[in-house]
Order: sequence, then C-alpha cells, then structure tokens
Amino acid sequence: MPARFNKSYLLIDRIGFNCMRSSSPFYVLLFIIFGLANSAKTQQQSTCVSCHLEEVDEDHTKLVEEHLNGVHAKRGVGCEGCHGGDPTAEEAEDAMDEKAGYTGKLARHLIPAMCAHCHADPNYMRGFNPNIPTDQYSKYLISGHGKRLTKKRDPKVAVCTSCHGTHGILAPNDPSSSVYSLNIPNTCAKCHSDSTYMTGRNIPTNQFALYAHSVHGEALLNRDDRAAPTCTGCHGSHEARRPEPSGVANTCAQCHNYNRELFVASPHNAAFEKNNYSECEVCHGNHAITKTSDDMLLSDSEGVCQKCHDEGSKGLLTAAAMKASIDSLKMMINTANGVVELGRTYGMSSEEPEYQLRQAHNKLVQARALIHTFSAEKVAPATSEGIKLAIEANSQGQELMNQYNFRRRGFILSVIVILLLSVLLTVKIRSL
Amino acid sequence: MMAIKEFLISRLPVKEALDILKKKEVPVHRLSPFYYLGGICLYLLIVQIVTGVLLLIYYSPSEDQAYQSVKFIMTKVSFGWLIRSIHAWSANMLMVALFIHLFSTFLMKAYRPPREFTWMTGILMFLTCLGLGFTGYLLPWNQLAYFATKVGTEIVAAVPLMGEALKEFLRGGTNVTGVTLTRFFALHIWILPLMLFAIAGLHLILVQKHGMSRPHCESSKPKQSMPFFPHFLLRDLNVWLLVLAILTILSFYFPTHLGEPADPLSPTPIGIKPEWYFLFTFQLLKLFPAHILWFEGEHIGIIGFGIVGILIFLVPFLDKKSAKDERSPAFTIIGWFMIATIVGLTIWGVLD
Amino acid sequence: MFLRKFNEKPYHFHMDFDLKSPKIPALQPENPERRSFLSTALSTVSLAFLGFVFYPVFKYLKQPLASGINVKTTVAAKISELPNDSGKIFRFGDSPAILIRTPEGQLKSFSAVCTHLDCTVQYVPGKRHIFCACHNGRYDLNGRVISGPPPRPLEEFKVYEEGEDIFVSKA
Repeated sequence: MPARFNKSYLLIDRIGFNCMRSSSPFYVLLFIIFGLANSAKTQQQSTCVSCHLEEVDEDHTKLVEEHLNGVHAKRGVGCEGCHGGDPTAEEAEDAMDEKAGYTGKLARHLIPAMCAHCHADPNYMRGFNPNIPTDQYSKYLISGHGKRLTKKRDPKVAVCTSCHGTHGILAPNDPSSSVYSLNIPNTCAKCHSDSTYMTGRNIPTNQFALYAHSVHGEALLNRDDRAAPTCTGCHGSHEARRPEPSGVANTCAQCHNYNRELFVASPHNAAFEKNNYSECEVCHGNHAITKTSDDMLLSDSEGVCQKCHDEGSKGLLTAAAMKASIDSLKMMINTANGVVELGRTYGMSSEEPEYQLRQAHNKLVQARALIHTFSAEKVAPATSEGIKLAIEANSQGQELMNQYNFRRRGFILSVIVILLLSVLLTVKIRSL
Repeated sequence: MMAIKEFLISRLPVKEALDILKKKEVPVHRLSPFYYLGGICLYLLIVQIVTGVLLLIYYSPSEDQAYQSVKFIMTKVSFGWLIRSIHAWSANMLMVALFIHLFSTFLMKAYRPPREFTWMTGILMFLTCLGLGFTGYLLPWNQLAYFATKVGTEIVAAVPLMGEALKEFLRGGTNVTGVTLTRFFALHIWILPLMLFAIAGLHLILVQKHGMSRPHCESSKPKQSMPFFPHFLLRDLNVWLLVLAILTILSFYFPTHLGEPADPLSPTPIGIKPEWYFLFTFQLLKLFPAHILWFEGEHIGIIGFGIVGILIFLVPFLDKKSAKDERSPAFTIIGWFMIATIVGLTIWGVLD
Repeated sequence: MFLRKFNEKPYHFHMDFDLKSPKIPALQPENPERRSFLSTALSTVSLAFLGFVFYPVFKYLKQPLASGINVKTTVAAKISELPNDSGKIFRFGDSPAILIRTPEGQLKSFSAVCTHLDCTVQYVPGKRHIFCACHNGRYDLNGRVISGPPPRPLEEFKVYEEGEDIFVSKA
C-alpha cells in the first residue's frame, strides 16, 4: 500500500468523519493539496502515538504499544481511524479537537456502527485485503448480541471490541488473537461464564464448563486440535445466537455428515421432525458432548434409547439387537487381541495379525456410525465383516503360539540331548 | 592317513603343543572344583564370540536401524531369538563366572609368586569384560539400553579432574546419541575383543607355563593330581555341557525382550539402573554423602574405587606372607569382606 | 568326582564305588562289549548334539523369512494392476498405506491412516480426492486436508518403479 494513498484516505476520514466519504469539490481540492503535501514528507509518526506513548501515563503507553502491535497500525490505520482528531497537530487541543473530528472514547453502543464504517464497506476494505468479508455488521444485527444492543440498549452485551479487543486487534489467524480458534472458548467465557455479569439475562452460565469436559473441548483446549468445533463453529461468530432445533443437525453435519445422512434416511427423521426435536442434541447433548459408548444403546446408566422407547417396544428391541451385534464384534476383537498380544510378548512377529486387527477395528468404527440407521439389519454387514477379520487375526495369532510351541518342543529335546550326552560322558570319565 | 599326520607333525608345532598338554596335571584336593571356573570363563567367551558373530551378520549399528535390526533378528530370522537370548544370558553367566573365578583365585592365593602376571592379566581381562558388557548393553538401542547407558556414563563424569572429558569421550558428545552407538559398537566388536584376546593369550600361556596353583591350606596333605588330558579335559567338557544346558533353559524360560525403541526425548524411566554387575558400584556411590570436607562425595567414592582397584591389581606384591608360602589370614578376611560387600550391595541395588 | 581317594601314583586312581559288581556284568570297565556300547552311544549322541547345535546356526545363516522388518520399502503393486484414476490399499509395515495413480497417470503414495481417528482412507475415482468414510474427512491428491475433521495432512511416501513392480518407501 503506498503511503500516499493511505494517508490521503485518512485525511478525508478525519475531515468528514461522521459522514460517508462525499466527493464535494472542496474535499477533492483538499485531498489533492494534502496528498501532494504528504507525498513530500516521509513516514511521520502520528503525534497521537508520540505523546501517548511517552508523555501521558502508563495506561496510555500500554494501549499505544498494543495498538502499534496490532493489525490496524501495521496497515496504516492510526488512532484517528477510530477516535478521529488530527494526528499531525503538535498541541493536544488541536489534535483532540472536535472540529478535527475527535470523538474520544466512543460510547459502547456506537462501536459496531463505527467499525462498520470501514469494515462494512467492500470498496474500502478490498484495498487492504480483496478477500476479507464485509458482512460482519449485518450479521451482527441479527445475532443475539446485536438484537439486544439495538432493541434493548443492553449496556453489557458484546460489541466488536468485546471479542476482538480495543487497541491491539490481531488478525483471527494470529495465534495470539483473542478470536484465534483455540482462544475463542475463553473469549466467549469471559462473559458467558460469569454468572454475576450475566444476572438478569435468561441464559445459563455453565456452557464453558460443560464444553471443557466434552470431547470437542478436550480436543481443542487440551490437544490444540483446531479441527474441533469452538463456540463459533456451532453458534456462528458475528451472527451468534441459539440455534433453532431444526438447525442443530445441519450444524453437527458440518463435520459429522455421514451420521446425519444415515439419520435422515432412518425412521427417526420423520418422528423427530414431527415433534420438533433437535436431532443430534437429544441423544448427544449440546455443550457436554461426552465420548460415545456402546452402552448408550442399552444400559441403566447411559442408555439414551430408553428415554423415549418403552420396555419391550420395537425400538428398544432394535437397540438391543444393534448392541448385541456390536458387542459380539468387540468380543471377537478382544479375543484376537489377547492371543496376538500373548504372541507378541513371547517375541513373535505380530505385524500381520495386528494389521488385520486394525482393519477389524475400522469395521467397528463403521458399525458404530451405522447405529444412526437405527436398524440392526444395516449394522449387521459391518459387524459380520469385522468379525471375519477378527477371526482371521485370531487364527494368525494362534499361528504365533504354534511357533512358540515348536520352539518349546525343540528346547525340551535339546536339553534332553545335552543331558544325555553329559550322562554318557560321565560314564566314560568313570571308566578311565 | 599316517603320511598326512607325519607331514603335519614335522612342519607344524603340533608335537610340541601336545607334549606340553600331555604333561599338564591338575591338582586334586578339596577345592579342586574351583579349577573348572577358568574353563567355564573360556567356554562362555567362546559362546559369546560365536553368537556375537552370528548377531553381527544381521545387526546394523546406526541410530535408526539398530532397534529394527534387533527386531528383525528376534522375529524374522530363524532362531534369531535363540542366538540373541543365548548371547545375553551367556554375558550374565560370564560375569558371574568371572566374579567367582576372581574371588576363588584370590582366596586360594593363586596370585602368589610366580603367578603375579597371571593374576594381573586376569584383572585386566575382568575389566575388559566389564567394558564389553557395558558397551554391548547399548547396542539394541531400546529404552532400557539408552537410559542405562546415560546413567552409567553420568557416573564416569564423577571421576575427578578428567570426569567430564572422559564422559564426553565415551559418549562422543554431550549426550548419548547415534555417535555413542557407533563408538560403543566399535569397542564391543573389535577394540575390546582384540585387547581381550591378547591378554587372554598371555594369561593362558602363563597358566600352561606355571601349571595350576595348589592352595596353601592343602599343602600339608599328600599331593594328588590327575592328568589334564584326557581326565580333566573330559570333566571340563562335561561341565561345559551342563553350562550349555543351563543357558538353554534360561534362554527359553527367560528370553530377552525387545523392549521399546529408545526415545531420547522421553523422561528417564523410574528406577533405571545399570546392569546388575555394576550395581555394587552404583549403590556404593549412592551411600557417599554429597560432600566430605571440601570434596564432592562422588569424587571421593570414585577415587576410593580407583585405589581399591589398584590394590587388588597389586595384591601379589602386597601379600608378603603368601609370597613366602605362609598362611595369610588377613588377606583371606579381606577377600571374604569384599565378597560380602559386593554381594550385599548388589542385592540391595536390585531391591532398591 | 574329586572326593574319591587317589593314591600317590599320578596316573592311576581307584573308584569309590565298585563298578566291578558281578550283578551288572555289562558295566565291567574291562568288558569289551560295554566299552564298544559306550563308544557307539557316545558317538551317536555326540552327533545328535552337534546336529542340535549346528541346525539352528545353519538356519540362522540362511535367507531369513522376509526381506526386512524395517520395512522402509515395500512392493506395493504391479505396474499393470493400477490404471489411471485408481487407488489401492496395501500393507506397509504394520499399517495400511494407499497407492494412487492420478487421472494424469502420476503415481503417488501416502499413509492410509486418517489423521483424525485412525480410520483407513480410500481413493475416490473421478473426484480427485482421498476420502475417509468415518467422519467425511477429505484430502487432496497431495495428502493435504481439504475438508472435514482431520487435523494434519497424510504422510507422503516416495514411489518408484522397477521392472514390473511399484516400490513405495518412507521418505
């Protein structure tokens, strides 16, 4: 970005801050004059920065340093870009003059509109990054936050700066950014886990705690797995709000597409739509999604099917059949695994059976996905193929034990021969 | 047949060798069974060389290949597991036999003149075998090997003055790496074996020259002996057969495990210690307090070991009473004391 | 054996127990039959012993069962069995790997272990990507993740052809 271009835009901004960049002749003239003037100068530090960095107080120094580190400063958008004022004026009164467009610390409810002034203008933003989205503001207006801001003037609701920060705003793909995928849950939790902050608003504050123990939370927070969903992955970022029941399945299907496909083709689909149940959530939860287990099909502690299906009903019988099918595959895999492990500890080469077992395990994963067809007949092909593979692994493991037994026989024979020779030698010695 | 025999006998020193052997006699007395031990050491060394050469055919001494090649030997080579287990167990049995041989000759005062050099070459061989055990232990490059070597070479750093330099020389750097592996391999395969063969050759020649020593306590009784060839030799072979049987049983019931491949970045496994034949030194060093006067405790310990080692080396010249063929109870007590200490410390080290 | 009484003469000693017992004439030391029986028995058993020693050694020295356990390289397929725009799963060491011939005819090979939860991936003909059926992970023909949950790309292997075979080796 040529400096001249940048600075000229800012000058126009400074002069006509609260109105859109109009092209009245006066401003055009000013633009030419100041643009030419600016081109003569080299990069000059703004007086806002030079004063507030050193001469005001420590808090301001920190803010200025953050700003200089952030993406706006690096692209040439200075303090005047948000606060207005004159960054070339030497005296504070001139720099922070209302006539120069100075707005000071903006009131909270005005912030989204202020940011949108640039960020919602595709013509302006494409000068910085041709691919940057410019729909954040319109999305924000339909979000839970936006609605509360515009309709209820809620003074505590999140605005742009609540998540992105004020002065040291970093790009979202910068790992230090508060809106970097790994940092998002903590950013949202700043408000949403603070029950004091959220009093009077009809919303729970345990979501982060539940999420942190969920499969997704552990993957993201403990293993830095960026493929795991964050709050924004399911709720949206600028358009964040509670998902509608019919939208939940599509949200999960962003990653768990196959399971959803199976679900939609199953008898549950019609039933859930009729009752307006949110598909995945009913069985798996929303924030506290824990690791699935086969016991979810049928058990006192974890069973989800019995939440709706009565004892002896067709549904519960299907659940039992599916569980039985999967349990038999698991049992076969465990048996084969035991034999192969035994062979391995005896020093036999167990690569082939281990490979087979891996394939059998893949079938188990597939079978578990097929549960979402809610039909034991559809689960059966995967489990039966898996059982076949596990049986083969088992027989290969047996082969290892056969090898071991061959060694044992050889050992016994060789010890017998050695001892026999020793006995004969003893007799020979005595005969000397 | 006779012509070939004649041909060989007139050109090669066969007759001279056989003459010496035919004259060789082994004393027969209460303590005679201990005469087997030298032969057992020799036999186990031969087993080590044979199995070692066989392992060498498939082993690869680089950091990324070592573990894999040992795995290959254990799983894909016919009887590779057997050769490897025999090599490992034979090493352990050899150390036991060496300890017993050392202390039995010490207690029987076999070092007294004219056998001083036999004793000293024996001590040197003992140290060489300790080195062979230490270097060989690293070669499978599994977790146990890696960390035991790390700990073991750390102790070397406790030698005063040159400790750090010595450690880096052994390791080929500051840490145990592939460079350590290759130099330990070179040491294990030919540097130490060559030294061992040279010293062993001298040791055996000296044994033939001076004959078997008769302990002083038996000198009052009527002297009995038996010819080495064939009487003692056949008994020796018999004992070797029994040792082979024990090796086979151990190799089968307690096969050497492959372990996990070495992971230098992982934390040191809890309770890692060097091989059992180093445990007594390890344990003894642990006993020394961190500081004695203004010296570091470990330095004192190492110096102590050095001094004791040198004294043992020079014992033929220190034991004046035995030199005059008199009873020397002081040295007998010292010998038993050393045995008790080593056995006690080793057991303690194992249980720790 | 040493605890018997030996007399003064070096080359001559008696046994403690009496092998000259008349009850077992076959065990007479002077008995020529016994002597030859002992010799034959000794020779036979010695031969058996040597057999037990040398058989493992010879088998050990012979070509081992497989060309290598390190499996840095393996034969994945025959050149002729892989047409354009097709893929094949094969075993590489102890885990599956995938060999692909792109629609343009180029050979590529990757680990077939999905970086998400270890399922085995597959090639999708006509769609130019590698697919994991467990959770719809998709990788492009360079092993990089296109969409879905996988966090890391697939490990790429080197492919080369020799004779009739396609060899795959770890980079």
